[in-house]
Amino acid sequence: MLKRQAEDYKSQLTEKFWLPKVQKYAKLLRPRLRDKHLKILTLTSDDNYCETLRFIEHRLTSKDEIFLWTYDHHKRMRLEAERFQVLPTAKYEDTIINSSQVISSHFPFEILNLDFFAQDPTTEEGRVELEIESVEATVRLQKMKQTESLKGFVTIYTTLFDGNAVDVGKLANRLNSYHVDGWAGIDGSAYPGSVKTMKEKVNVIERLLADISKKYGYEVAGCNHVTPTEIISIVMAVRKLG
Amino acid sequence: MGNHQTENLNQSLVAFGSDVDQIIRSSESLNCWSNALQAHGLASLVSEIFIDIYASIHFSLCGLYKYADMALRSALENTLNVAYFHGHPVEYSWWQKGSEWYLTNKQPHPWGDGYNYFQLLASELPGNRGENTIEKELSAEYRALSKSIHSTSLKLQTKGLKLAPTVDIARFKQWSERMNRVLSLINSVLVLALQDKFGKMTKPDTKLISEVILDEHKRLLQPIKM
Repeated sequence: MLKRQAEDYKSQLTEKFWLPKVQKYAKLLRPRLRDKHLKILTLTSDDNYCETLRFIEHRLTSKDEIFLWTYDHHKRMRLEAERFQVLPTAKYEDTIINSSQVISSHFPFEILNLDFFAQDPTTEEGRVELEIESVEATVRLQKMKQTESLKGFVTIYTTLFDGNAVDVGKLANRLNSYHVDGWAGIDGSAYPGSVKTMKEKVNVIERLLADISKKYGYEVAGCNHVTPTEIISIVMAVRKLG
Repeated sequence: MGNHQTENLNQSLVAFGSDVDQIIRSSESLNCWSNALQAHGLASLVSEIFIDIYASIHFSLCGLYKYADMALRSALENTLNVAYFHGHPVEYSWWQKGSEWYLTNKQPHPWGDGYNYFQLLASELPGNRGENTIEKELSAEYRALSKSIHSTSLKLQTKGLKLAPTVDIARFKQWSERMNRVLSLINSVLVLALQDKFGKMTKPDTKLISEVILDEHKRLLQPIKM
């Protein structure tokens, strides 16, 4: 069921949400260029990588500028057979949090499509918290590898909505363990202790993503979300401050 | 020859599709180890084990059973390398540069002669009574697979009358059983040598690995919780 949903969700999300938003925000990143040549990292699946093809078709990027990610060796082989560049075979969240040195040379990116739904997620407790922590680690690495020419970037975060509550208190503590000089930390009292409904989760995740961006010196240029059945997808564009 | 191989491939997939699906599912256990070893750098060697398994499946489906066994032996050797190098980073850096220091010590492999190193690892498990069981399992499997590499008479690719590779039910089933035993041993050796990594894996990952390990191999790993 989840696989069939995967085939359906990706095409719809790409056409109705990801592509229009990336096109809109690409004008901020590369206002003068017709061919945007955006460097893209996308967590994807071997049986449906339509977002990569649509981004290329719409001159947002080229095959040389897209880096795919999958956790599975068989899927990686299939994607490599299509002549894509595929980064190490592992879970993205584990790699970016615990061994980012393995992929840091590829950063920074202009579009980060962190589609955890495409990585065959399980419904374990703590899953969403780990994904959000991985977004923090990603933004941190973006900042570390910041170049003069990078005006900002777009993060697309997509995940499975399940019945588990998200422990916001615990998550805030984890995010605050990533120290940045001058940043007081996320004020846990400004957030509910845990959230369970779709609306609550979207609200908290958007606020946390905005907090994470500000922490590393980026201002939010735009944030949108959609919630098709069992999926949360958020697109956030940030601009470099100063 | 290309058409002939394609015919064998299609014939094998029709006849043995469910066996292949099960083997592919079992090989996904390597994703768990690749993920666990990213920080260590040995993840690339896990990918090498995957390709050995992939090649073995491909050869078998094409009716090239002798070469399927050769690829399986390579998978087992690479596993023993991962298990050894995880605790020997200096030797791993030598090996990465192409050094074969062990040959000057008259040892055939980085981990030494035979499988004593892995038996010593097993002997450290609480409750181990010193029986050389993991050593026996590795030795038996390696010896069986080596018969294909050394072209013993019973393992020739051209055994029988035909020169061109042909799909053979009995030979496929033999390979399939051997593949499942080797995948079980691969995961058993990695659990033994990388207990700390195994202990930190998520429940879905430890469940997948545990499902691949045969009961007879699980007994060798007691009291590690599966």
